[in-house]
Amino acid sequence: MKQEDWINEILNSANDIDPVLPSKELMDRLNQVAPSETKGTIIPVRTVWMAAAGIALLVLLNVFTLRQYKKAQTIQEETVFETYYDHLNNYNV
Amino acid sequence: MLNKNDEAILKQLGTDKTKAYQLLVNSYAGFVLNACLKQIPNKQDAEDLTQEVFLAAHLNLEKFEGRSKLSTWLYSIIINKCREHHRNQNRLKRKGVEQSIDDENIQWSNTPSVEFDHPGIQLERKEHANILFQAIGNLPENQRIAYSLNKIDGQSYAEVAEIMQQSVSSIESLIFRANKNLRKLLADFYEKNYQ
Repeated sequence: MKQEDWINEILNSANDIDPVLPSKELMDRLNQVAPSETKGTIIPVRTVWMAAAGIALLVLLNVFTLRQYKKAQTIQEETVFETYYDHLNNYNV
Repeated sequence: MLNKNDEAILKQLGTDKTKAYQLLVNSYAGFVLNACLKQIPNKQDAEDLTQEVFLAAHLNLEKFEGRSKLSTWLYSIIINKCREHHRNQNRLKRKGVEQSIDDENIQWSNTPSVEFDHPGIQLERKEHANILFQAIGNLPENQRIAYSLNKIDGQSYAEVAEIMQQSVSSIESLIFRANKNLRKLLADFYEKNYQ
């Protein structure tokens, strides 16, 4: 068979495709789409990401504030300690 | 122009969305399944895609205003889902780099993006149809979709243009190039396997 004839035969091989009927299982699956979807509320992905970003920001702010607080507390303790010894030295105790 | 069936679905949509959806499934399940099979010739994949198409249709049913036929609206969803499916398959098989995006570098790939299993093609034609669908799978995306819609599914140029939201002349050009590339691909296959 010549190449051109073979190519034409291939190109025509999808002519007259018989229609395929959907199976009962598929119809059941399709009919389940509606109730399963309407049961819950659909939240857009963007909203989920916004909420996640908000929570992450809150956690970061908390960590930052706690660190600052601890730093401030250490400085305060050191200052109190130093002033106590300064006081003793000043009075030659 | 909407047919009576589409009008009934639209009318039902105003009162009961679930019933409108059921009407849509009963009227268009076969249509969507067969359209999916002509884009993705594998029964299991086509059934999964049909489910995805109806889920998307259910979620967006209110947005359908009746300006086009329901079948055209469903077709645009089918095409989007098939595009996604092809991209996922190519990514999975790491074939994306091999697939050409222009006409000049087009070449036959022996790795089919889907396993051929089309229940609507007669046994004696299956071998040839498998080669054809493999060749179509090697075409650039828009050429593949336009060719399948026109030559396999029998849609007119005007309908393909409406589904793909392009002008009729660009669809004509896409199908012309697809035909030329298919001949090139098949000639390449013939030389490698039969000579």
